[in-house]
Amino acid sequence: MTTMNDENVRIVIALTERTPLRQLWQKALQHRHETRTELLALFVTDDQWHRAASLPFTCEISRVSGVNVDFTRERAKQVHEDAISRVRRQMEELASEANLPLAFKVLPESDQKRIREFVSGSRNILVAPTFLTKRPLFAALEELGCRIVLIEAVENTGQGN
Amino acid sequence: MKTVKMTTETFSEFKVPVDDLRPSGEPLGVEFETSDQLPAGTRHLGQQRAIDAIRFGLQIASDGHNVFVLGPSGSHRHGLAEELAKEQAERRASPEDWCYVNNFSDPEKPHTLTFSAGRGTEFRQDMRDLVEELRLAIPAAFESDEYRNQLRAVEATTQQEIEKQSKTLDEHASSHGIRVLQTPTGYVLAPVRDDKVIDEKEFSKLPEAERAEVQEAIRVLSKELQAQIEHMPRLHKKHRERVRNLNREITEHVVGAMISDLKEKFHELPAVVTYLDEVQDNIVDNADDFHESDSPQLPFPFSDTGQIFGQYEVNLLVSNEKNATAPVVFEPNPSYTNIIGKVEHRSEMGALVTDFRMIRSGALLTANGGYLILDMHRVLSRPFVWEALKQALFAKQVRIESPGEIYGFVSTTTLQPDPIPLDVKIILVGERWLYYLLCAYDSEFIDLFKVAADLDDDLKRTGENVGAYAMFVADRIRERNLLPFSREAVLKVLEQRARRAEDSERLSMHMRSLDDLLSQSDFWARQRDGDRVDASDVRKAIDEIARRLGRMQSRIQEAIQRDTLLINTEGACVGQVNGLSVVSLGEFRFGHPVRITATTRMGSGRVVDIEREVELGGAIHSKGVMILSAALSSRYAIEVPLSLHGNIVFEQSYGGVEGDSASVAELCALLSSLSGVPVRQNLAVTGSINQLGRIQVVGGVNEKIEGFFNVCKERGLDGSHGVVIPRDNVKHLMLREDVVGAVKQGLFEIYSAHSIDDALSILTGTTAGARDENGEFPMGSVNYLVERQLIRYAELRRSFAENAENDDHE
Repeated sequence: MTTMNDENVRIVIALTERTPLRQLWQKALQHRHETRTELLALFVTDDQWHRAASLPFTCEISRVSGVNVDFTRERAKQVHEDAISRVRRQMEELASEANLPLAFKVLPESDQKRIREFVSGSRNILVAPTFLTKRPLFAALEELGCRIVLIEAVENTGQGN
Repeated sequence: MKTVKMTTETFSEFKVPVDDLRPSGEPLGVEFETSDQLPAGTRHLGQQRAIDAIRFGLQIASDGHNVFVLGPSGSHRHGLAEELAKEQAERRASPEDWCYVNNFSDPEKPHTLTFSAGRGTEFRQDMRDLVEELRLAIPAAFESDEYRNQLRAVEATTQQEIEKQSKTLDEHASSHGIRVLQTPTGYVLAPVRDDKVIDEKEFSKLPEAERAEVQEAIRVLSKELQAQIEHMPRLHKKHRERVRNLNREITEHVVGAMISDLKEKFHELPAVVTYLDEVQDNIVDNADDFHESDSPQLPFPFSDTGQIFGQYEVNLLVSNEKNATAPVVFEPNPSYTNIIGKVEHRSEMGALVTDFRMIRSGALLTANGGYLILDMHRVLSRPFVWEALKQALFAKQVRIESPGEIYGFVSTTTLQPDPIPLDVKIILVGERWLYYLLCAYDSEFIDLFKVAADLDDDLKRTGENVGAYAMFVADRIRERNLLPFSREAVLKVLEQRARRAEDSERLSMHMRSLDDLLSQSDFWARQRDGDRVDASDVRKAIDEIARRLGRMQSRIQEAIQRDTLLINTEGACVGQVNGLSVVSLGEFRFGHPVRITATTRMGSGRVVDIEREVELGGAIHSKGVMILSAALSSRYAIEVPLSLHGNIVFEQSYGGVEGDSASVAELCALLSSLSGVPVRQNLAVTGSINQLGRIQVVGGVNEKIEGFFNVCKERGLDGSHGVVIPRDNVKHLMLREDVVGAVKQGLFEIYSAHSIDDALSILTGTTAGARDENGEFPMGSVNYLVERQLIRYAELRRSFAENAENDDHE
């Protein structure tokens, strides 16, 4: 993992498990040409899985067969970790293709303090999908004064791109 | 064994005149100093009968009139067949081209297309061009903005339908305070409060009624979601159909124009037009394949883009583009695949796969519409070829199948291509014995090969033919760029050809031995830096051939000189005659003397052939001995029972004995034993005999004479030595020059005998004796002594029988 230099300008790519990675990545690269910056992929996790799994009656309904099974804490943890590792792997592949260093950070949405630390700064750029604006986190980020670039993108169905 | 003193009688009436020992034949009739002055001669001298037969076979159109050229190896039979086939081919137009193309409905059964000569090549190139165009045009069409826009519209429609469903569910869920969460593999329905999924702790704080309401809402929404999911495949299928229809429209637009041009170009060929329609339909049906190059390669045909386009290629099996006339094909290695063709396979990920592009033609198809020349011995020695050839000729079509598949040896997937109609003349070339064996043992053979072209082995040595032969020789000298042959050298060659024919009145037509002699004579002339080939060079070539192959001859000669093989060349012996034998070593033959002895005693009228008793004698030899027994019993003491027991043997012969050419020698040995009259050992004799005592011709007479001459010469010729041959063999004499020279000097003699009495007279040096008007032989003659001895045996036998009978009575 590439280490960050706080003195540099940073492009932060806001990611969730359902963001269209390639579109975000390409947009980030366009802005990198404009300013020599460091790239940071910031994966913002949502603990909704764990909350849902804590309920005794929640089930997971298969997208393929329609069969439903208990949605347990173990399953929630697995879904969460799989999503992170998948997004991380795909971002690293994109960075490798472009032969560019990329930092990857995972932070829960509730840890807004650390998220702000990464993003804040008027020279920094936040690249995010439009659907992220619906999240409470986005309202907080808007106040930071960084440049925000939104990508018109449909939320993926949990498979990434 | 008793010996007697020789008589001095010369029997000049039996001597063969010197001029008959190596007749120079008819004069050449053409004047020349060297062969390059001779005009061109007849191309295939002396083979007119065979030539007429081949031409007849090649011209007649009736079924089964294929040709079998009979002749020995080295008779230029292949060259003759090829030359005459080309002559006929010149009169026929170039046949059709044949192609295999994909059968889109059943790829394992490729279809054939046929074109006039050269158009097959054109069609193949057109299809290649079409494929190249398609490779670019179809992907380009799918990458065009027009297509992308249309595709996007289709996708948007589908997406809208999906979103509509999803949105409806989301809204329904939201109205009940439920959120639809998406996992990588499915959906989770969870209660939401303040836009946040609540956990167990928060849920437990809700009023019981609300908790129940949430759970009921989730249960109902789950059922709705499941129903939606069940409906989703239909949406996807509908989407795929929309995309496929779009792809078909795009592909049809691109392909249609190109195919139309081709259909117009080949409009006179309905099968081709039909095929092009199939190509267009197939491309349109499989339009998706043309722009999905990222799919992984699979171990099946047409699994990648190259293979996808490959199915529209044309396998030009037979092209006659470069043939102005009918083809003439000689297949030197007539294996099954070289004759019938084959279906090749390639290995893909460990599996053997094939398609119509891997069908290969054999010689039958290459020669289709023309002539195919095959060596029969090779055809028979290659597995499955003869049966396959006959099958193709009977069916008048070639079906390209693997013999392994026919006989069930392999289970690899292969093809069943359409059969191709066959119209070819086959010219088989082989030995005579092969032809006769096939006639006898293969009933189908004569149905298919009705025309036999029997090459003549030799040519009459007439004045006309001698001149023609000289021109023929001159042609072959020129064709091989050899030094010119002097007149004497050409004459020497002609003499050798008569010798090769074993007949002073004929000239051998064996081409390989002629060519070898010419080439080797040229070699020896060049060795001495000569600018032309002289008679001495031809002589040298002949001698060197004999020397190179003469090891065994030398060893036998040496064994005789060292008395390891016992041969007397002087004096006279009772019951012992020098016979003559010939050994064949490939194309080289030599003769040598062999001692034949006979013993006699009173017996029951049986002459025992010891060679036969020990199974060393062949059938013909045994027949000869039986005939001489019959000759003996019919000539002597006819009125008394033949009471003889005789034994005849080839001394020091430890191998097989075959042929009847020693029957004169055997009978003379037997008569000598009976009469007690000794036989001259400075003479050798050859000849077969019939029941009436007539001496008949034998083979290898020159070699036999020279064999005995060699032995006598080494021991010292003194004028007493000689050989007795059948009178009918005189015309076959073409003796070595040194033998003729010795005869001229009176050091050696050749006698010819017409009857057994002639032979007896010469061999015993006394008159054999003829019956007088009273039926009696002259007293003291050989025949008199033989008959007297046989009567004595008969009396002894009768007396012996009477005594034995009296003893029985007592």
